[in-house]
Amino acid sequence: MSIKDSKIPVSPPPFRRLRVLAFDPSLAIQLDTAEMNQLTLEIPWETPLDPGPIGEYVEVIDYDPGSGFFYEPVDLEDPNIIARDGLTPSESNPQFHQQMVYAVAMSTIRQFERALGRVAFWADRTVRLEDGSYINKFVRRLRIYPHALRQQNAYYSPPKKSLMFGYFPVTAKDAYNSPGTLVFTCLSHDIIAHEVTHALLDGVHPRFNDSTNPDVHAFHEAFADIVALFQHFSYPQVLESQIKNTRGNLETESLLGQLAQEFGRATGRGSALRDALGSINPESGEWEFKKADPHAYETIMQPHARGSILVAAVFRAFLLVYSKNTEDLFRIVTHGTGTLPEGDIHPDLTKRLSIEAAEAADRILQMCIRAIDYCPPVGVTFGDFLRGVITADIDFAPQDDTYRIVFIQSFREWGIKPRQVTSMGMDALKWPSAEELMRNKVSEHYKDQDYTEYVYKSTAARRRRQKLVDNIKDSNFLDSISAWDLGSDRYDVWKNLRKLRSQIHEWFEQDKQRKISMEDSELFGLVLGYDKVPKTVKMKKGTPTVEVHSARPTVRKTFAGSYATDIVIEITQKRMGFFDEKVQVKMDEEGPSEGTVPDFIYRAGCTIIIDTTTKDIRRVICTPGNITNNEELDRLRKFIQGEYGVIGNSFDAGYAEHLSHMNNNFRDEPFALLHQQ
Amino acid sequence: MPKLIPPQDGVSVRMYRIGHGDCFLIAIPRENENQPYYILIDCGAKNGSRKFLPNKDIKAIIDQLAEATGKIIDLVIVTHEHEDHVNAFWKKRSPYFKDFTIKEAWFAWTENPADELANKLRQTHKDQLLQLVESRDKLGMMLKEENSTLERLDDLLGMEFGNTNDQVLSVDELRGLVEDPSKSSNKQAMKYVKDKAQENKGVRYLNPGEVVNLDETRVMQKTNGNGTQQVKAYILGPPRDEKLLLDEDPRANEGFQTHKAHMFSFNNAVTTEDNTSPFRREFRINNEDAFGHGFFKEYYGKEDILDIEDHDQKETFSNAPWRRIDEEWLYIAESMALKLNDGINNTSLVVAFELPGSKKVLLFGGDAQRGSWVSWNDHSFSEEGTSKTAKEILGQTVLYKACHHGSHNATLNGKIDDDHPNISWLGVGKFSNEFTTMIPAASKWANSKSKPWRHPLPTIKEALVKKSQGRVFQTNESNLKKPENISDTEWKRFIDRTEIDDLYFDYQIFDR
Repeated sequence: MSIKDSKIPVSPPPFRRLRVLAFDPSLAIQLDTAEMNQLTLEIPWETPLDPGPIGEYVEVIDYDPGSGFFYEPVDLEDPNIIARDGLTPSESNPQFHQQMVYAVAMSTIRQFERALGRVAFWADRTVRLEDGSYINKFVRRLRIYPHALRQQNAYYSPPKKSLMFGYFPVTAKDAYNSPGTLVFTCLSHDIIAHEVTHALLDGVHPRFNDSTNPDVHAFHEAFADIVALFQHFSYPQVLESQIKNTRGNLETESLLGQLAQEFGRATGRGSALRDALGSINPESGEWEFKKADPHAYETIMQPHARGSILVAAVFRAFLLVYSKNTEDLFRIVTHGTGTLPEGDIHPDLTKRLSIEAAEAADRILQMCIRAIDYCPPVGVTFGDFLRGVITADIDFAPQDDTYRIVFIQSFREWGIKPRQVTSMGMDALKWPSAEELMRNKVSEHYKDQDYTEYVYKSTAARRRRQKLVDNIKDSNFLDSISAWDLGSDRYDVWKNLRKLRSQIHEWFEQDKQRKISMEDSELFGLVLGYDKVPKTVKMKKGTPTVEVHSARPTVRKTFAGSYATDIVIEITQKRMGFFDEKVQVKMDEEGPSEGTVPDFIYRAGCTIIIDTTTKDIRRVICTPGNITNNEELDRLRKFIQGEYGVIGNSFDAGYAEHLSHMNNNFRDEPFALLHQQ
Repeated sequence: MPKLIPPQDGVSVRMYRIGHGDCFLIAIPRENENQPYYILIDCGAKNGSRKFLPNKDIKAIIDQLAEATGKIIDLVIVTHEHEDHVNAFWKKRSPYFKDFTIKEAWFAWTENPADELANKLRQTHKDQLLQLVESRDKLGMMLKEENSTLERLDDLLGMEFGNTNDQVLSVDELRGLVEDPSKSSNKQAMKYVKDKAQENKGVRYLNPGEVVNLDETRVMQKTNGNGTQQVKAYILGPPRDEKLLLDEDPRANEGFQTHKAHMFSFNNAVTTEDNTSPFRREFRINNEDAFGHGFFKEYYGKEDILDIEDHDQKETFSNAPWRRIDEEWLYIAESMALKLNDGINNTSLVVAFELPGSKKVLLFGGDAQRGSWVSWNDHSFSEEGTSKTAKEILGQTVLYKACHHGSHNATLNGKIDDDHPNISWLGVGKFSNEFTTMIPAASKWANSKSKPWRHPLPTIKEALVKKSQGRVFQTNESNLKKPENISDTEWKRFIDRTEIDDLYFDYQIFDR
């Protein structure tokens, strides 16, 4: 035995420490920000971690097709690299670029897993087989290409399950830019976090790539920005430096509310790419705090600009909490006057304020991430998201409603109101449980009939609905759910979930045979059974088909302190849509002939959240109308036709995107174009 | 068939159903009633775009034009250098306009060889074209199959150079044309018009803010005495502003600069041989060596292995072809081509013809898009002590030729109080009762492209139909549709002034 081998085994460390830039290289060469900009992240220790780096979740493949070169992959297991907390930040070392995208991607993924209580998945690769059917394949790792493009762009590619980062020479000349230098988007913390979030959201909601109303793409962008922004608050050195600079007043200009400084300046904006807090007033040249604008939501349609409304609303919620939670500290320091003395604030105060800010930011971010399980499967709106945030928070933290109140207040100030609710009260916003729905949702089917008939039939319907809910409770598919947690092997979980999905699908198909009719499934915004439906609805053996998009577990801590596993199920149905209303009516009645290609696809359905222990259907989240709803179909038609504002170029103006789902000849890259704007 | 003769107290506008493109003939009275003053605005259409129209033969249009004008055209206006506006003037053997006399020709200042800014723009345009052609070449070599991006690129490149036959220009041809633009069909066509005009009164390059009197026109004034007066032309665009023409911040544009970082730009990668990496040699692995290198062989791959997607193998391969990015970076070419197209569209000469008595305006803006529209109100038009704003002129519009086939961003949406010109500024007050739109679009053809062109954009069409109360002509629509809320008498008053033919639509506007 050599003296080197120890008999006592040492467990691997929980974290791998890796150096990254807190913002981007432009801040590393400015004296006031240089120190804060170098950050050491603690990334969960992965074994094995192959060169690349290639771990469990991501694979960094450094191919630069514009140059025609591949770059040597970094080996983060090299003892020298481990000992020095990763490579030193350097723009000219591609291996540092690889390290940084890996580290920031992993810490973003961790935020998600922590909030959702389950392992993260990337969207499946869907393959169309020759017989027209589809299969889904497991994609273990998100691929990251740090030098994929030579352009002012970075994006997530849904078909390639990859992140593409671009680089480009600076041509603008001002105080912050030196023409003749290169900007690497893969060295911007915010851009990396933003793009990874797109991929994570796609893993949960693949249908959110389809723009079916003005909010969907805006939501994708906003959500990615929210995650990137609030991540700043989890870095104490960044937070403390900014609290010090702003003397604790976060309504003044700070790096905390900004995204992608270098990119913004290099592309001629003169400031960060986005600023959730305010902007430079073009007339005075001074930075101004952005006040809530209740009309913006009605008028602004361009996805990024519209998304920034949501970001601002969420940020406003954070500021409200922060100022409430720090009132006492400011009272103590100012002896009740509220006026801070000139000069720097006391370092102890900086520390305390930072703790408060970090705590509030963390909670807000967790609320936002959890909300994505509480969204309808298609066509999400900002209002749906607000309802998701409120409902999820009631489920996760029933005892303290401060955060929910500030969310409602701030969204109201920004004019964001869910379409279907009549009040902005917490009760109205909360997504209902199946029991609540049964008690309150009157069947649509008998409303035209006389009163006795109506009472008789709807009572009967209610009984049958109860049976449906009981049936779900009795079903065996919930039994197969085992205890998944963050330590599970993702492929095993994926296989299990896949099985679960097909069990649920089977259950619904069997249910049809039990002759459950429309008014029962109405509860879930679905149309099952043999009732008369438009012939454009996708059917099988005479009844509308259902697609179980997703079934996923989520772990939450109950009020009593124990852990409960919920299962989130997303079900959709689809129908062919036609631009010409006359054609639509004809097709609805006569049915499309073999090989008919629709102008667009209309989808509707629901998200159901079931407690696996009690088998209660805790939440039912329906799309505004079911698959037979002609108003919603028309709304979608008008949206695609450009009724609510058009984005895009002077030829296809956002329209080709909808066709891409019907024709393999298209390059389906929604974010590639979005991010160019 | 006779000549196109306007009413003594008005003008006739003939919209040729030439395909997806523009060709408008305006006839205005003058002293000699048998030879009215003829203005031809553009003459061209995309190849193949007559597919769904009653007339599929370009020759028939030219023959009709010859008859209608007696082969003498007083003024030819070429709005801008795009195939679908110029390709029916000229062809190599026996040019279409061989037998025509052109008295005078108008072009935008952007075509003026003596204009410094125009020359600068031309150089940028040339650089951008070269970059596009080379990207298209690289992308074409990498993609094995037909691809909608390539089709789009070919379409847009075709637009820039023009083409006399239906074949797509090869990359070598394109390269030759970038090198020597004068050889392109578009340039030849424009030169042909210029040369013809030089034989007579010559060529004028117009700047925004100019007012031109059409001296030879004589429109009868029946209401106020029996005298005659002249038609006026106000020039609204193109703007003399690089930023507006390109419709973007030029600083944000990847410049064509000489400093070292440019070696790592997209432009350098596609247009030169000495392309290199921004990273030091020690990090680089050549394409050839990478696949001996275990890492890239395993995780990127090269072979065309078919990603057999059966049910047994559920995890995707680490080197699956569908994840590769060899050509991904070149797709930006499509966006560049679209921007370039917008830039040239914005160089369109925008002319508002004003009838002398009623002050009714006929607005012809070529393919002007947002960048041009927003500049129109930057000028006031003074003449003999009187001054007029663009807002006033636009408010008098009774005939609007929809810009850029009715596309997105080529008819701006907005309100009357907005700062920039928009649809609500057109045809205001009494002029609104007569407001009529002409949309030069073969939409069935445009929609049949593998990546459809939304020409006109449904919402813009809807807005124009509403504003015009149904008085809308569109190239591929042989029937005028009476809206339900319009009275029969009112509709008849409109229909009486129209004539529909397989080759054209005629429309009369009276100066009263």
